Amino acid sequence: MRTAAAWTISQTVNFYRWVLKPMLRFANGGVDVCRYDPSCSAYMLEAVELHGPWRGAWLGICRILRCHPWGGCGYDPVPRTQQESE
Amino acid sequence: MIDRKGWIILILCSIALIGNYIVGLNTAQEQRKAIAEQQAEQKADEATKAPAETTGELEVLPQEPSRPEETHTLETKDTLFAFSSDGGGIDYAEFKDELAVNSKTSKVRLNRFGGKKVGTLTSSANSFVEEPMLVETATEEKITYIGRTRDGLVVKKTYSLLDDQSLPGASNRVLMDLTIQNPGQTTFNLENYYIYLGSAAPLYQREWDPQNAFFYYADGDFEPEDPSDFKGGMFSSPQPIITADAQDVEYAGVMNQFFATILKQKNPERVRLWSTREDAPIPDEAGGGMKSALSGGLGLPAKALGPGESATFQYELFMGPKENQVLRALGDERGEVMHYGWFSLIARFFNTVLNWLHDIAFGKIAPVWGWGLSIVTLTILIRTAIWPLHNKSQRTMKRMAKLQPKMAELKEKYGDDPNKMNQETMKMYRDFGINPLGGCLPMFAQIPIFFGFYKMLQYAVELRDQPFLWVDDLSQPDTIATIDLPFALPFLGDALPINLLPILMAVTMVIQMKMTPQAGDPLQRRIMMLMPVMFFVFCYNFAAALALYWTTQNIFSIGQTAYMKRVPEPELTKSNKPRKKTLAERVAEMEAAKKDVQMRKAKGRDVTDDKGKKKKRGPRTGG
Repeated sequence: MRTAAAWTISQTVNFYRWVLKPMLRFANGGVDVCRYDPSCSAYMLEAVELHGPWRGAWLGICRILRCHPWGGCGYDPVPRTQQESE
Repeated sequence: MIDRKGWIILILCSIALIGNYIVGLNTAQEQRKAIAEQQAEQKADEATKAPAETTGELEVLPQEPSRPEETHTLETKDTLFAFSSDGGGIDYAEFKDELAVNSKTSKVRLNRFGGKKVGTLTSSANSFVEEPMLVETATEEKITYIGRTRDGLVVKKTYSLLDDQSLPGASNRVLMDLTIQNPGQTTFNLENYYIYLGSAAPLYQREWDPQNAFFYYADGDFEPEDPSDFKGGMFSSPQPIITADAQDVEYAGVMNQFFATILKQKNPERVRLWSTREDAPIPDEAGGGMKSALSGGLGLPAKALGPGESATFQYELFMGPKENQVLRALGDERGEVMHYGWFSLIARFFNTVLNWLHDIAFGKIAPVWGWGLSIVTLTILIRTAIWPLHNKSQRTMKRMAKLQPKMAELKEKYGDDPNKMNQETMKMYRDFGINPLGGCLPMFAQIPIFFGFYKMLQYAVELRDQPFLWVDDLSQPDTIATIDLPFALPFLGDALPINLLPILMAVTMVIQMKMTPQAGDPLQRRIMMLMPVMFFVFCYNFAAALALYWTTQNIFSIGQTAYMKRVPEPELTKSNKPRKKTLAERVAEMEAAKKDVQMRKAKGRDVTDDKGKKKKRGPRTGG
């Protein structure tokens, strides 16, 4: 279940990155707009890999919600897991 | 990156889709056979059934199946309703101002196929129960039919035009009063009878299937059934007939991309519904070939009609073009027939603005090209509204690209300390005066705008037969010539139409792409190069209005980028002047500080669970 969900999420993100994003970029006049590094889509992929589908997707959604003109910007990596930070 | 697993999945999905399509083709054939058999059975059934002996009051009715068909018309300023006594209903509705696709003479007609009349009673799908009817009265505004069903019920139907022809859509509306009387000895359950809604088929070969549908509005939901629901596929079996039993049904009907028949009952009630699909030949000038015609029936409310009893039902019939504003003004949720889908609110808004632009300005200044000019203007308005966003983000992106080497340096230095890294990045951005204004969220917010506008143009019957520049009809591809090929191309066939607007769209896309800075890794860039080609192939047979929208948008982007290039760009120098912090920076700093505190707290917990001790700790520096 977890792996299936993780797989679905990462494939959705991949679909976005390879199909939707180029279209949006065209509609937008060729501009990439993510304010963060890594970008929101990369963040989502990494978060799902690190924290599993549920928490990962939640982290990714929070990140997208932060990525707006009044939000932050700059380097914002996926928070490490407990085991990893120790 | 798409890994190997991703590619395999992609290929498997494609195979599944193609398989589904092939299975769909085969099942459609089987289904046709099934329907033919069913109809044959029904005929046999009807032949064996003796007409019920009745002793009704309306003895004036002779049982004469061979009674000659009488035709009458009711006419409004836009519409001609052709009636027939054969079943006592509307043979077809013809729209005086709407020419058929690629035809200079023939008008659009609703209920073209099947030969059955809208308003006829049926006992199940395609099983018509009425004998030819007598015309009781026929004036310019009203027609009354009297007749009986094969099982002995006496039926009286009155069709009348609206008295007040200034009401919205009045010229497409007909009131229908239905009285059913039981002269026999047995009790009939009226929920077994349906009113035929007529059929609707695409106007041209390239009309997209899901735009052609049987629909009903029940319990707050609009329920469409399009041809694919009947044909079936790998994951669903074909259904020659779809039936439903629904609560609170407001209306039911059939539609194609631009026209609809809607039958509304006076009060929402629980009724049964049926619908079927049959093949419909498309006229040669509109592309030829076969498409699907969908037809259906709206049931009568459940009511047991005892001997000698009678019941009256009131309906309102709308047969006309699907103009968003008219349908909304009809009330009773009939606006849902526009079927805009997810982005309904935005599509409705744009439709209103487009109509407004046309009615107050362009329809008056340039009556011939009015709609085309309105589309161009609306596109420019939308793009201007989101200009600041693009403007800033384009500028920011350029500068960020220049800072990339410095970013890499920082990453190497502080890579394992996110907080420090963030602080340094923010500091660098501040030093170089970078303040990103865009963001992923605003970009996502734009998706509904583009799709809503697109959907609105796709369903805008206002654009039918409206010329603009070299385009004859904005709702059709702007084919200026056709080249016959010796072989068949995918999506296009062997006669290659030359559609100028999609070509312009692809060209402007390429120009735009050449002008804007390229981002991403090499593979991503290569995919970007493929985009114009993909768009070109997919959009080649789009309605001219959609291609016009994309082309205008591309030209706008080109202009925007050119303007951005002309504006001198401040050099990327470190400014040491103290500068007022922008809101974004302050928020970001606060966020960073908050995170810092959280991180410290978390670390504090790691070391000791005792909260009391934490307070005694000296403040740690953010490392």
